[in-house]
Amino acid sequence: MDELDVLKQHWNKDNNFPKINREEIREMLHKSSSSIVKWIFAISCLEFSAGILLNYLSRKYWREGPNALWEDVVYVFYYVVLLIFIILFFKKYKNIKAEKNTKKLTEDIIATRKLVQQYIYVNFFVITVEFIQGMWDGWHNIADTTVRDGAPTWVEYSLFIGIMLVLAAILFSLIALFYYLLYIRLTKKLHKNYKELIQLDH
Amino acid sequence: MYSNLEAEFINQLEEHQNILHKICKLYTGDMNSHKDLFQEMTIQLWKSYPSFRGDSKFTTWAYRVALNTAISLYRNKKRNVPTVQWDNSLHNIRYEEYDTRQEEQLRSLYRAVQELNDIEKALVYMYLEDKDYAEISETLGISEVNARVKMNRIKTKLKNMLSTKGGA
Repeated sequence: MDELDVLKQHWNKDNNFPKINREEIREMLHKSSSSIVKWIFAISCLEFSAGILLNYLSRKYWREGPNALWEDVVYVFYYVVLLIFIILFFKKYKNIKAEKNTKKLTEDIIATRKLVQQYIYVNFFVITVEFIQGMWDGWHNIADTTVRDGAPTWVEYSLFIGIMLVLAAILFSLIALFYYLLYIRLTKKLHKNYKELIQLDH
Repeated sequence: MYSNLEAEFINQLEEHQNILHKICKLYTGDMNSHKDLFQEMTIQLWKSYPSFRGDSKFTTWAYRVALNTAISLYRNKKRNVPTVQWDNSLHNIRYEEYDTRQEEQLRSLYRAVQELNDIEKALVYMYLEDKDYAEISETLGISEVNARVKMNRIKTKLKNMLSTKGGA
């Protein structure tokens, strides 16, 4: 008899559990879930909102003068993409059902999260475009001889590039840390279990 | 006032609550986590209950949803912490009909199972519940052959764990 069969003998007789009564069960039904899926849903909604807010603020306050045509195209493109992401997200979210098999359920949760991750990449793209645009404007401002005496020195150019790169590094490090804390830690277990299931079938 | 559906669900769950307790026993190491996981399973079962059409038995449906909750939905960073509170009232193992040697062997076995990963625990749970490999493969979404191979590996792993620790 192997070890698990020894355990099975005890397992079948084991009824040493607290009895949860009907009222306790009823109370549980009305409590809020703290599942990974619920967290992913809440974080995703925040991400969608933050993306919309950042885009709006960027256009309203950070840009000076009228927008170029390409900027309007990026703006419209951004909201079309956002709408597609939101529709796909809700479709995928509704598709997560606990009664599916474990592999499919895990796949569905990961796919839902991956979709929002792709939305984040689109946001990164938009932020990078804005950042390059900002650098371009700044570069022209320091070279503007109508507001300063003489052409800028190489020290000023180097200092400008240095400051911009440090700012970019800080910004992206903060975003990366934010995502590590929020997302990677949240789904680490899920990915580990999924990997285990995939390895089982190969 | 209960709705009919709610009353029906509560009746079923009250009757078959040991399914959930047994899964909690494998996936948690202390009473708080056990209660927490039990509650999350209950919520997930209730959320899924409208789509339960009675094609399978309530118990079959319930253990699948409960296992999925433990593996994929439940979030508790403490759940894989070794069971320092093993001897608390909830997880206390009573072996009145076992002798001291068997009792120690069972304790070692439960501890070894607790150290397995989530998927391995699911396989062990279904093995202990006498589920056949067709059902195990369907529940986890893997092939029947691979479920069988994995089960044999788990048995070997447990044997090695116990012999290393000089347990069973």
